[in-house]
Amino acid sequence: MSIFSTLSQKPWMADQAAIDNNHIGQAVSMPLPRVALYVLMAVIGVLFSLFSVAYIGRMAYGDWRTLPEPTLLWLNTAIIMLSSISFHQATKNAKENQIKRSREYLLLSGVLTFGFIVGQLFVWRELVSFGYFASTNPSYAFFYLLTALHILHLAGGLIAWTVVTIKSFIPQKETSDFALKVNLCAVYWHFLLIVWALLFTMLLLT
Amino acid sequence: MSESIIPESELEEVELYHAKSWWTEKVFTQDAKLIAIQYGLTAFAIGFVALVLSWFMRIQIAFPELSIISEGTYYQFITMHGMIMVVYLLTALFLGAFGNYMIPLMVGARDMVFPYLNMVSYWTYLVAVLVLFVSFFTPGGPTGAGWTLYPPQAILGGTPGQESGIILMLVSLCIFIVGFTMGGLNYVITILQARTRGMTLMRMPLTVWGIFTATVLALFAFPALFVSAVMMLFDKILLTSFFMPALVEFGENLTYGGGSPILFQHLFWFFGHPEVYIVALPAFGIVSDLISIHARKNIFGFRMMVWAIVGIGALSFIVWAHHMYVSGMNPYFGFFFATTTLIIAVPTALKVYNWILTLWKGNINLTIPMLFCLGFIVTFLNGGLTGLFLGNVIVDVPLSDTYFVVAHFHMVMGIAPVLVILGAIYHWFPLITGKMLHEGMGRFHFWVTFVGSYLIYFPMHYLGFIGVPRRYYEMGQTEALYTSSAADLNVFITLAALAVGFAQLVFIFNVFWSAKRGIIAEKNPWNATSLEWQTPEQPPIHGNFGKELPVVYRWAYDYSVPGAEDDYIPQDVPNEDVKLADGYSELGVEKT
Amino acid sequence: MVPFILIVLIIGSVLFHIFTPWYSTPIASNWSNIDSTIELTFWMTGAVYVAVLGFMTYCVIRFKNKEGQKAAYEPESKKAEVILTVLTTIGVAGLLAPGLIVWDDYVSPPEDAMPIEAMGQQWYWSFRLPGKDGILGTTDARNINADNPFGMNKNDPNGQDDILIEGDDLHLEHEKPVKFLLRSIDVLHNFYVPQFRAKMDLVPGMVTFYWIRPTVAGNYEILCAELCGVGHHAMRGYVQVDNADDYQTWLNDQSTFKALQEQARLEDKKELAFNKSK
Repeated sequence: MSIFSTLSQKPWMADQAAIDNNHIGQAVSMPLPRVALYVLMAVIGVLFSLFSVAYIGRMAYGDWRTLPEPTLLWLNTAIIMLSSISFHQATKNAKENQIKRSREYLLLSGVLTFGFIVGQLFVWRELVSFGYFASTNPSYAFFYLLTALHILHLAGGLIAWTVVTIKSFIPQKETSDFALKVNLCAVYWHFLLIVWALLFTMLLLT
Repeated sequence: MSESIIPESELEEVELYHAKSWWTEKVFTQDAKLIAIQYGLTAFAIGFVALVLSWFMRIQIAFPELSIISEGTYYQFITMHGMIMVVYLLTALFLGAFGNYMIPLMVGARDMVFPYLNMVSYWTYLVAVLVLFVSFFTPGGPTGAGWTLYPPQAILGGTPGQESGIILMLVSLCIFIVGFTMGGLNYVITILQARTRGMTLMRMPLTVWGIFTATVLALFAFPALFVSAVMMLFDKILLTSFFMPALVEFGENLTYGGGSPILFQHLFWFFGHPEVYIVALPAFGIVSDLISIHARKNIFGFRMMVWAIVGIGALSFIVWAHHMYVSGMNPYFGFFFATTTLIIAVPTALKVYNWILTLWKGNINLTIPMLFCLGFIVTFLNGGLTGLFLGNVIVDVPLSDTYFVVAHFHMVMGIAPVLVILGAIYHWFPLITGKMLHEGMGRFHFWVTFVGSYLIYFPMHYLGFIGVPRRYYEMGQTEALYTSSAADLNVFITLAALAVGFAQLVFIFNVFWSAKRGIIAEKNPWNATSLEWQTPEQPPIHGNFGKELPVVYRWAYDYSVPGAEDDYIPQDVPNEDVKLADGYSELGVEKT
Repeated sequence: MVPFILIVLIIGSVLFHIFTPWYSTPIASNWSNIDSTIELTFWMTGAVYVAVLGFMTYCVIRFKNKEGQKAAYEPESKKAEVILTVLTTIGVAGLLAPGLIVWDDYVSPPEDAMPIEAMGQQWYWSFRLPGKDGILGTTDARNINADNPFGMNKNDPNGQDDILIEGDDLHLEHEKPVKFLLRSIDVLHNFYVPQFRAKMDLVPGMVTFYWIRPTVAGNYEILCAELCGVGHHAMRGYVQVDNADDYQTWLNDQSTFKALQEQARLEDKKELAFNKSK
């Protein structure tokens, strides 16, 4: 609705000009990093969707084999879920200006994320030890590819997490955007949790 | 009420970055204007390599008896020529160079919103270019798979560069995409969030609209290329079978099995078609502004122009398989994609009409930028109309994979956008350097480039009608198809191509000579309204605008407004400050 | 100067089209409808090209900058834009509709079309005819070896009488519709005979098709129209369209899969005997 009404404005008309002259020059009322994160998540979402489309497209061919599901994957899923919850707590505390508690949750989230990544690597090792190589079947190849890509995105997140965690040790000013930054990390982690949940479901169902 | 009055955002504007040393000021700069120039010079440098490759190809086609390059080299050259021109030159120039320079200035911002990320974006792009360039010097050389990189041949033995060239190509593309994403975030968010007061979306010049829409397309289309590149790397290095069916390579059965080459083509063109518009939309935007400025008239049907840009952008995601009519995909897709493709012709045609209707009742200055605009309209219209041949599925059958296609896409996304880029350089050179480009050399450059290109590509369509397939190292002795007169035509085309190439050398000389010795440009030499010309200094310094950001009071096309003394009113001039013409009491109101 | 060059360019383009010696080869198949759609597209787009550029040239002459001239101020004209949109849409629909009708024909081979397999590999063509039973036997790229270059399934009864033509010309019977089944064993190729106007990619791992009815007897060159490696430009072959008698004569000279297998077995035996005797 709002897009259409914007696009139908006649900027050369005097009455429209009177309204436009007071326009602040922003499309949404949001801090820049948040907008950036949302756009970035949209792009990453498209990336994973296209991989899923390729996955489903490739599945249609006769040589597809179903993937064994190491139990460890369930444990990893639980860990990444906990890390997301911990990030949620970190945000809550940061907003209430409880920097110390927030920091504790931040550290916990980081450790859990790290655990998840190590866990995924163990899953790889297990699959390889059973002789399920990437070249054996496209379903295994997709598994390695998608999990690796997911880990890479988490690793990117960990860079932001490192910056925020270091920040939590430095005394905060009143106007600091610490809470915002913790919140953005949390949003990103929730996003990657959802991505993982969808990927995992897709891998399970096929 | 969409986005009229919105409360202040949660955070204050980020303070402007200031360089502390020569290195961070000039080399690892975070100023979008300098980054734009870095992007531009890098893109032109690698683009020049691609241009030289095309000379070798043309000489080989016209004089096959000379055999100046071998078969393998020929296929490597067509591949690198295509990939460099489409991705590393055109995309980088329109978005990296023009995007960086024009967006902050035109929307009234001091810089991009994330200058650091912007800097990293350029250096990542440079790495991508270098990785690509290195492949010329690796064993086996660069890949010769054609710029479409179709598997299986892209990674099999019958194709040159399958040792390491193809790997470097794919890696380079992935790096390019990562770098572009950083830049793209900047362009989109700067346009959405960092405009100056009074700059509504509909008050932005069409250049910004074109770059904005193209960037959004690129952000969502490049992932498809990323996906296909990563999966092909897996097929090449880890011997997976994403795209590889069971096959026999020169009598030897390979371990691949079950994959689908068509899947790659779908992914590739899901990127590839929007890519055409990633190049075309900024060109549309820029040419609209140039025509308006140099015809001293507002762009005709401004709203239609915006709708067409947005509409074409959206439609471009559902037409990709028109590149695959004879690829062996389900033939019933042909009905759908032919229909969507021809629908996209309607908004595109409207844009052409509106450019010409802008000239109608204008006051046309035949400056060099305007000449390039006229050249653009001719070549774009020509290429657009031949698109109606290729988009209509059955007409495509005899013509696809022939020289008709080569002529079509060079006309529509080679020559046409390049004419816009060149026109834009003549237009904005005074802003960027403070000097005018030399007029005589400029006119020579235009006429040779425009007429020469037309003479290359207009007759080339007819080679396609004969049925000459593209990507042929030599035509051989095919009497019925390839009579000696067609060979003569190829000689003619090659001579025209070399002449156009020579004119570009004159242009390069002109740029460097004029930057040093050119006559000093007056302030706002074309009397343009948009904000980039209203900066206190010309060329604009770091921070773009003076102490206060400009406030915008009007759209970007107030040319020849009835009642105004001058034939333009800059965007940052309020109605009260407009000097009225004799006999007017108010803008548009005559004294009674 | 500017309008003069534009006018020369418009008139020159039209004259070039009228007098060009470079145009489609004489058609030799049933697809004259494709030529008609091209012709139609040429007329319509050509008219638009001349009209739009002519109008542009007029504007450049009429509204060239003059002392005291001021441009009009007209942000938009709903009427002009609606008219132009409607006209363009009608024009585009007029091109699309006949095109889709012919395409429907192109993808619907007639029942009585004889299936013929065209097999591509780097960088030559081979063909397979269904033999007396009219059915092509099944194949698999994994079966391919020196004795079985087509990858025939040896247990498939339908394949025994298939006629195999390796690296030689293909003959077609005049006026008999054929459905080409296209198969590649290595990379993409494209089976293209310009005089037939039809083409389609060969994709390894799958079978694609198109159909034609040859209407003019003669010898036609096959060109590969999809980049397939360094030998792409040299991947040629010939199709000979014969009248019924000549076609039968040619057909009787060809060998079936079964005969070729027998021959190979005999040769193996001979070699074995030869080796023993040494």
